[in-house]
Amino acid sequence: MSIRDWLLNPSGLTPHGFCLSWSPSLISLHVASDVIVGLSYFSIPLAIAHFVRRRPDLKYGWVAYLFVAFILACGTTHFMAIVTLWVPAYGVEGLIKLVTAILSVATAVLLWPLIPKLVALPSAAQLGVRNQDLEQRVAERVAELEDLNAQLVAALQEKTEAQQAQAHSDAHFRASFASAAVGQVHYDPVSGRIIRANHAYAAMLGYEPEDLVGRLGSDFSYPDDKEPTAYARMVDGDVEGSAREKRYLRRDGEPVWGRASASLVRTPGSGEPLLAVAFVEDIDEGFKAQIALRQAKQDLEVVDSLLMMQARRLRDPEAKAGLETLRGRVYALGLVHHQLMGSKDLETFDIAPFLEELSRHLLEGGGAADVTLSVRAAPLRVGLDFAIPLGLLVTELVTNSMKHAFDGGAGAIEVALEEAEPGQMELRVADNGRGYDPVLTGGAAPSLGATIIAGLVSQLKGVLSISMNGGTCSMVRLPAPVQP
Amino acid sequence: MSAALEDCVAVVDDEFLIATGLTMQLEGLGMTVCGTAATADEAVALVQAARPAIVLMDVRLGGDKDGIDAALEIHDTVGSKVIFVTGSREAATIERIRLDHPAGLLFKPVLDWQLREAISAALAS
Repeated sequence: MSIRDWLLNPSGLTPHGFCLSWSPSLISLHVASDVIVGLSYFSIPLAIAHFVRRRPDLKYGWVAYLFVAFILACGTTHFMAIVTLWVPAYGVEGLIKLVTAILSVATAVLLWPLIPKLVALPSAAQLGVRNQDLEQRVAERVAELEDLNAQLVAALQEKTEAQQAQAHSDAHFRASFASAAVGQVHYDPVSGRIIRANHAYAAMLGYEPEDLVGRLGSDFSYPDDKEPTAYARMVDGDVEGSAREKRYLRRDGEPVWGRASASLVRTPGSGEPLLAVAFVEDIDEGFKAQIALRQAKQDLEVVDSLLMMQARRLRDPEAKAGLETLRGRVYALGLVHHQLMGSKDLETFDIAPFLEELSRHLLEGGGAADVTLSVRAAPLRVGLDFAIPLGLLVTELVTNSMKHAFDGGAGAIEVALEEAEPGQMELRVADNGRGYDPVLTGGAAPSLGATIIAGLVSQLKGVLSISMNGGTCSMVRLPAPVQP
Repeated sequence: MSAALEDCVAVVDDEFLIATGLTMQLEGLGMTVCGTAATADEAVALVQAARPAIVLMDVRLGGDKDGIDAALEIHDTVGSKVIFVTGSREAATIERIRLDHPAGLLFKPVLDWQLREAISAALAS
């Protein structure tokens, strides 16, 4: 028997229709059912194949192709069932069934171990939940980002505002630095070089501000007045800052007096010096006057010291007393300078506290423990030309009272300087002692004190009158000093 | 400040005649002067060596330190009472002296009784 016969017509076999007695109803039922099943079985794998091709992301897609092959094979068996109704091709039918069997077994065998893996794949619902979760997280993240963004925008805004404020205050600083009437200099604290200087400082030295930038600060200190220790102490932190009067070197080589207050700006935290800042006030004019006054006063202090030492060496009481009187006169001169040094304009001062201090010193220096003193003076600004003769006059009159009025006993002295009428002052020095003639204290000839009194009254263009009514009262009418 | 101080006075003034005059005044009042100094550094050295109970201190001194600097150092190392003796009446100087808590402040020229009172007040404080 040939293969062809085996495939299409095994010997002696009848077509399957014969078994159905060629009953038209049975035949048509089988044919119709097999056609429908066969077509369906052809359609299903096509749909699956189509689906799988469209979804290349599907996991285990090859299983679907196994199904496609298996179902196609099943469909083919149904068409073969129709063929075998009329043709006894049972060989072909058997082979097709064999192929179908192999595919079925393969599918069945491979499917079982695949199930746990397929189960492990997330379901659509799970994916939905996960998706929702994801969406929520994305939403949260977006919200977070929006929040961060808002913060960033706010921070940027703040920074911009801060920068504007900084720019503003920088501008204020520059303006106040540049135009300040007081000199200002900034130095590099390490090199000592000038970083910036304002106009007032530069002008004091005879330069323009830009001429000074980069120069050493010490180049402008007068050679005798350089003071490295003061600066070193400030850097070491021994002192907060330094303030002193010193001479600066002007462009023309002349010294100029300045009052400098310096301080250090330090880095927050480490405390390293960042910037040295100095304010320098031009006090040249006033300071030179002050130095002259101080020198004059110091010279008078030395004179007083010499007189005091000399007086201690003397044995003769009259000579001793003479030197003490002289000390009183020197004191009056010194006190005038003292008052001037304490005054703002260095030219005038209030006479009232001066008279008080002068009289008190004379009383206390005179050793008259039981003598009391009262001073009454209206506030009056006076200059050197009025204060010196008036001070010396009061010195003479008070000294006279102490020497001659009380004989070492108790008593009271009154000093008064008041306006008698507009433009006219009246000085009164009175005591409640025994009464004496101030002009003739030394006997018949006028004493030195009397000569001095007369001379001073005349210098002040005044008139002296003396009354001895329960003590001695000296009155001097004098024109008021011209007010500056 | 731990050890007891000597019953004497140190005089600091850069003007020799004034320092001498003050020395005579102090001796006239029956006090012992342990020495005089003209600069801040000399003053500190003198006070550290002699340990006087009282220092009469001029404010303006030769050198780059003044009497206030010296007084601070004396206060920290020896503890003597420092009485400033100044010829100056400038407000800034007086303010600096006051800030230093002096034991006393005298203006030149100084009378005997002022000196005596200032010293007894300083010793009592």
